[in-house]
Amino acid sequence: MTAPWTGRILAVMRKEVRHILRDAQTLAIVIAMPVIMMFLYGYALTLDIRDLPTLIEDPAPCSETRAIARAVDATTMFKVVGTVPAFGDLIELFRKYHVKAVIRFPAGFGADLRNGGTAAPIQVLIDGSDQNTATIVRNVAGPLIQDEVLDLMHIDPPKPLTVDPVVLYNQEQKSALFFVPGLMALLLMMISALLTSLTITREKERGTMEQLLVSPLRPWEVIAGKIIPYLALAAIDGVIILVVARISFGVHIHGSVLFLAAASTVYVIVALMLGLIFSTVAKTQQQAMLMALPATLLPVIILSGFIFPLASMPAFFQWLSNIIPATFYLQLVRGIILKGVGPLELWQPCAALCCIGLVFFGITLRLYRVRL
Amino acid sequence: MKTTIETRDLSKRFGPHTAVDRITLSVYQGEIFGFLGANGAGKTTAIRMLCGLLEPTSGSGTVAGFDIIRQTDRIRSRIGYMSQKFSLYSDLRVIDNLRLYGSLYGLGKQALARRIDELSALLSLSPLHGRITGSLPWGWQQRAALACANLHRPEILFLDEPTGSVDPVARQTFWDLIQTLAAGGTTIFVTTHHMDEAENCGRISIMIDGRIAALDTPRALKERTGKPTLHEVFLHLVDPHSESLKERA
Amino acid sequence: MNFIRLIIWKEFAHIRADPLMSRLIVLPVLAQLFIVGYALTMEVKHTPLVVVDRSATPQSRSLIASLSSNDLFVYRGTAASEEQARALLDRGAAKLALIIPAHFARDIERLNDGAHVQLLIDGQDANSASVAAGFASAIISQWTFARLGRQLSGQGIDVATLIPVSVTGTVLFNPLLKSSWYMIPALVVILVTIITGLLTGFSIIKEKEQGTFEQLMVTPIKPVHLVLGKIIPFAIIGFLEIVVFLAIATLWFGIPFRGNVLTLFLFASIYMITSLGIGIFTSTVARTMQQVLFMTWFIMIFFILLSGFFLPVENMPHWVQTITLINPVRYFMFVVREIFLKGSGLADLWRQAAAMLMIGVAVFGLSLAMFHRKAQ
Repeated sequence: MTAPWTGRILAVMRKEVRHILRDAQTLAIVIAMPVIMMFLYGYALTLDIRDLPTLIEDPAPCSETRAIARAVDATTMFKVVGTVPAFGDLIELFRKYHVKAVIRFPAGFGADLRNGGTAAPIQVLIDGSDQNTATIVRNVAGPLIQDEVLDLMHIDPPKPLTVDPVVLYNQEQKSALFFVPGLMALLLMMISALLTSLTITREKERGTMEQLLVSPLRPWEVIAGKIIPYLALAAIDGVIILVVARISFGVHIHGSVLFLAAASTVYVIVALMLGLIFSTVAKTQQQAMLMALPATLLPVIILSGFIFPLASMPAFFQWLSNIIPATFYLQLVRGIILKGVGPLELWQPCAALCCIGLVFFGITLRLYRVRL
Repeated sequence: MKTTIETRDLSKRFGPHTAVDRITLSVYQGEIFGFLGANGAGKTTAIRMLCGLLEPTSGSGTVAGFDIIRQTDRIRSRIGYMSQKFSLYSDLRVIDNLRLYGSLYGLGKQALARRIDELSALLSLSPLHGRITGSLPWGWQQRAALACANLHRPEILFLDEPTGSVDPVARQTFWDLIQTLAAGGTTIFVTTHHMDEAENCGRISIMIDGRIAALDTPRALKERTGKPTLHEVFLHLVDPHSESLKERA
Repeated sequence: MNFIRLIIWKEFAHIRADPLMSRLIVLPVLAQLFIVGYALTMEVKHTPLVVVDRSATPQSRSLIASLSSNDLFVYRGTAASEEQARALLDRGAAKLALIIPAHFARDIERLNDGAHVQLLIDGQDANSASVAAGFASAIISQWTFARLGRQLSGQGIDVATLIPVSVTGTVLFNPLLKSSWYMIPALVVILVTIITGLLTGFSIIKEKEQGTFEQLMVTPIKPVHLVLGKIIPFAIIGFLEIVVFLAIATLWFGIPFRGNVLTLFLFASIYMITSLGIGIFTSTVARTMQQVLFMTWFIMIFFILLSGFFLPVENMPHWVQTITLINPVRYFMFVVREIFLKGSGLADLWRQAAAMLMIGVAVFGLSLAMFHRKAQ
């Protein structure tokens, strides 16, 4: 004999599910979104720098400079798009040709080399606009080009020290491995928080919320019945992401799937409650949207360590990231998928996520008693 | 007498479903014409065709002398329309809504101000000008909507269920206002499913399943069917065993 | 024409009537600006580094000092063994581990194929990993070269004769390599897109949901007037936001604005043709506000990810780059950064302007036509 409240919750759930199914457009987007973003991240968005449009500035072209230019073009990093003779205004050069680097040979370079002396240095001028690319190029370009040049000249430079890099956890440096956890954090948050806040606000706008509350249903039953279908939807999305990641990109979950599922469930519930909080404050759907979007997008993308390293941020933002659920969820997912570690190593983010959940729950409860 | 609305075999089909089935009617100037029928009988669809909001599947009609299929532009400035759903801007003040609709109908600043004062006096809206429209009681919102529909002195007023869920006293007041407008020469084409309100009309038509089952003055209908109230007339007509269904065309 | 002015007046009346909305339009923008300005950085700094020094000689300690004294790293000390170091990497307490072999001091005296050190890198965050490793390698190279130079000059050899060619790197336009100089200008693109794309669509669909759309259609006003009247206020707000944004970016964040404000406005106008068109499109295809939101969000995310906002378009595979040719956000993003940091003008950017214009006219025209047809 099931308790009467399960029956009531089921009734609310059934209605909510019908709503969801009727809005085929939104449903299609919610399901398609993870697939498309997976492919985008997997195939399109890489952090590998290559084919940087490069211009060669050569006042006295000779066989040496041409050979060096060819060698540079042959690297994956640079792609020589043209050669110009001495050009006065360097800035104009970048502006006009939209190149990312200019390699400038000093006048008389070839002659100096043939005479056996050392030439003035080859200058690599880098467009610093894209700070990330420019940093990598600056670190790497000099030695890269120098190695090519010395190779061309059949000179074996002294090499007293070699650094052997060993990349752990992500041997193939596949971008997909890096992005999948972040993507899960983002999509689960967006779906849970956005959808719930809009749905409940819409009911408030139409006045049907009042009817629900006047009925024998208790507020918590209404809330539970409403958010469970979205929990399911978020779960579907999560599974889709992991399946696509596995099939298309060979992303292997090194750790415990059960742990991952548990962590994800807690995260989604936290996100759902966030959506609820928005819906109590917003009076119109427009307001709900304008509240939910920046409050979910920004923290997840910027302040969670998804793309931008937390250690590089000012202290204030590092502190701020500690109250964002996505930060801890990201640590959990990355740890489980990439490193294969378990609850023992990851107890800190676990505890943090649960704490945040409890705080949100408390806020939701208070707001609902006062507002609704 | 001049006819302001005429239709001939006007029909509207949505796929397999016929919402309006070959209705033919004429409405005279200054008449209060009651367009009755149960919910879902096709009343709103018919009105929307007459207002130029919906294209008919077949048949023809003229409103204020202009063709409802090809000359909807000309019709618009001569009619006023109050839809079933409340359609003023609830977040704006009453005066904002009045000014908006008056300007949409091309009233100049001074003419608009005068007209607003006139109608506000008639509908007792003056003290409510500064109030947010959505904050007013429902009956007063409807009055504001009626005023907005009337600013440009339309030849014909289309009112789709104007009294909705308003209480009986307010409903009566509303009908008094309608009658005042009609006395001024405006043709009123009003739909309602409150049969008792229909007594106020000059003539009424009753739509059943998209067809016009009856069209006459209230008294004539009562006499013909031998029923004392229009409500019972209606029930009688809906009864599938009634002969009147086959009589009326 | 009067109709359009009337609708514009109405739209502003709506915004005034909802003070929360106005605050919601402004505040998140400011918050985004500050977060992006201060927090959004791909600069890799303060990377925690741990060392396993099996050599424990002055040479190895000198090498360690070159790294530990550098701001880019946070030196976490030495680990007793490689296992310990790996454990630290597992926990995330360190991101780089340098392993110096026991015979380091002896090997490094050899000029050819000398010593080898291992650099263990936490590869989770592929980008930070490669950048941090790049820094470490560069610093180690410099240390090595300086040491070599001293060693050789002690023998009377100028190191320059052994290596006759050198390469220097200079960074232009953003010499301090500040991430904010790259990201903040890009933010204006996001702002404009949200205001003109999302809010416009919302505004139009609201009329339909409320039922006021039908009421308006009964009046002499035409659908075209309604649409134009709705998009103009949001375009105006968009421009205002650009002005506020420029002020904050330049005055507060010190981002250089080396170009011409009018050029920026010109490109913003061209861009808005597309974004407003998208707003019209979503409001035509959707039935509810929720659908408008999700559709716009979907389109926006797609366009923004493929626009070079975070990651350069040039890094993408060629077939993806071809797709981005019809992405207006890509062009606007590029143009804004060029105007800010290089001071480029229309003469340099006419190709982008032409592309944006073509896309805009197509999108807007199509959307308007669809809207008109549906309104009949």
